[in-house]
Amino acid sequence: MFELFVTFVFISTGYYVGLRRERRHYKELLVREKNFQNIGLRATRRLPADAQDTQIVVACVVIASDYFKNWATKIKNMLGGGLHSQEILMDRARREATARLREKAARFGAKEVFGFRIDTMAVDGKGVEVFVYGTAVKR
Amino acid sequence: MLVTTLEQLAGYREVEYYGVVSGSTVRAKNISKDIAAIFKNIWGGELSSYTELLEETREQALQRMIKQAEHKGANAILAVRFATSDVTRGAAEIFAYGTAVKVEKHV
Repeated sequence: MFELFVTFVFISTGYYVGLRRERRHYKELLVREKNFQNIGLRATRRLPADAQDTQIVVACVVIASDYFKNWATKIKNMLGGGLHSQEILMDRARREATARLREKAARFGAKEVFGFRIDTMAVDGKGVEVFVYGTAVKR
Repeated sequence: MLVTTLEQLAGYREVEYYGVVSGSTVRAKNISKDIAAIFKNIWGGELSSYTELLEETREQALQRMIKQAEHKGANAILAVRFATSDVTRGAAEIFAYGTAVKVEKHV
């Protein structure tokens, strides 16, 4: 009985605190994305003719999913269908890593990142790690 | 050592080719940094100690790849790619690979 209560506390803490932290993170992301929206990202690999200097830039982030999402995912896994909570987690991690990459490119003085690549990895089933890299190009 | 994820470097041309070079590292996490992770597992958010671990691992893999290229006599590595994997609980492997070449400035 006690274990059930503890689990319920974890799940509701996960839900409420997790949701607040997620919303705060998204707000923060919007601000950072707006500040660095002039840094272009391209998956293409051809260097432009007027490129002056290039530097490899890499950024990564590991985001853990909250207790409520993990519990809801376990249930959804049995029922089948889309896992919207995991999609949100992936979106957050990708956007955070990309924002960091843009910041690094801006520090180098570049306006564009070429050869943009994303690599994703699951961490123990409780979170996700996103690794983005490319070459910042100064024209 | 010039390193790029593209196939060319601005203002340089390739004069010699040394083949594919790579570097890889597996690092285990420090348990004492794990306390914050326990709370993060309840309410989510970034696991900054894991992120740091990944960044250090990646730096070391890159350095190992660069050392291999230097050993061959190259001064640049082109088309660099990374591959990551979870080796065991709390350990991360990062594998960096690219094409080692010698480049010289365009006249």
